[in-house]
Amino acid sequence: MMQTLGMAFWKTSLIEAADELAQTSLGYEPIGVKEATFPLPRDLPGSYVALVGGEYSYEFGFAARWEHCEGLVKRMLFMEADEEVSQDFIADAMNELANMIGGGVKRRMVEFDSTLKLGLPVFFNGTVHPTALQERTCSVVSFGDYPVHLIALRHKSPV
Amino acid sequence: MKILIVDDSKAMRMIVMRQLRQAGYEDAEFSEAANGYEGLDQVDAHDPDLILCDWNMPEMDGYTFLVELRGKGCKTPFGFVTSESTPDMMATARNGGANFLISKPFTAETFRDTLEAAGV
Repeated sequence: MMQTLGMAFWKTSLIEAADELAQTSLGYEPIGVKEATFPLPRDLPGSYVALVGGEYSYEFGFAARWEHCEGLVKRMLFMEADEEVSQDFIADAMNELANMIGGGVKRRMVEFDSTLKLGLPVFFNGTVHPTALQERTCSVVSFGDYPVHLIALRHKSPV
Repeated sequence: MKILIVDDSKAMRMIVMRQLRQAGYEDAEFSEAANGYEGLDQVDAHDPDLILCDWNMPEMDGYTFLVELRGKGCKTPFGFVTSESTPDMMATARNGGANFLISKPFTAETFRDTLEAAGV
């Protein structure tokens, strides 16, 4: 079954999946949500995951300042604030956080589009510049004291 | 209890171990593997009482690992810990011989309840 899912549904699924992650693996209160606009801040590290479907492809980013990424990772692993972690480890753990959100998003969307396949996360430090063909939206959500950008993109899948 | 955790992410293996300790398995003896091939070696080396495994991994994925194990006659309780938990995947996991599937994100209670229900 495949239905065209609008940006609103895509964005809501993403926020709900992020909220689920915040309240389970991270033990936070429900996330607060604020709208954000493009262009996004420069040099914003984060993990990006694709959901590829028959008609549309979706990508989302889970991005925050380095020190906030580190804080989220330590929170997830019950680590002390002064414990040393490498950037590679932070990237690995941020990918896992994004992967968990991706699973939650797919679970919510696959009922309407069973063609969706979840890609593997990739972590990079930079700025997303959507093209004119890509619909985009961004929210800043609060994981405890850490603001996180949830970036949602959608575009037609290749024929 | 000896528990083998198979996941290509070191961070996720750490998370699973921490959650299991919180769930009451603080005395468990853990071994780790980053893919199915390493998992097969670890099963031979440690003869675990429980295997917890990611689905999507490089080299050998979790489902192939499970089928290989069951094909060798290994009856060790096996659970997937995965982000992807659609009804199709759950059915595939059961048909392959998995005892349970835990969806990410999870909590310590998720592990406790699931493992108790599975009789582990």
